[in-house]
Amino acid sequence: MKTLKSMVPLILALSLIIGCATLTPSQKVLWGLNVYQAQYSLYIERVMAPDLTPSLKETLRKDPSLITGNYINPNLTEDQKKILRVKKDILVQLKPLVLMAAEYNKTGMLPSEDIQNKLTELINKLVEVSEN
Amino acid sequence: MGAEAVIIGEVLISAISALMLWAKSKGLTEEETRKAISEAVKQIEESKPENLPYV
Repeated sequence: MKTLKSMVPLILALSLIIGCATLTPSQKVLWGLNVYQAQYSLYIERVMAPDLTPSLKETLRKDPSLITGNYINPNLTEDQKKILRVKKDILVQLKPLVLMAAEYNKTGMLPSEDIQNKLTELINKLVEVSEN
Repeated sequence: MGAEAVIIGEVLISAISALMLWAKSKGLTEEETRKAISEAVKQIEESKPENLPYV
């Protein structure tokens, strides 16, 4: 298990580096937007109680602030909760950055290197569920 | 399930998702990519990560 655990971040980092290196700037922007959306949706799915009706789930997806009390998944372990807290924090930081990067679509100008680096760092953290 | 297994599971799910999205982005033309960016931006602007429930 320890070997597998130590290899996961390495495989992940290599995949992301190789993957990003072969994308055009606009494909890279789209990839960042899609990762944000996927992780945002995954967070909501994880947090919602599994026995809710499909229509209620649809309502909660539109306004996640309504997910309280009995609507919260009672089966979440403390470890899963810790991961979700980190993810929420990263998603809050990531939203303005991915939208800033998407300006490339209109202006044709890539965001500054600092912003690009921060964006890559946050996406990596989000995917790795790192607490560092 | 142990803490390590939970974390590895989450990492793998996220990594596979990210790689699938990479493949999806890679397969698009410039025109398709720009259109997809515009649609994604609209949805992301409506997202409210600060309102996600704290667990």
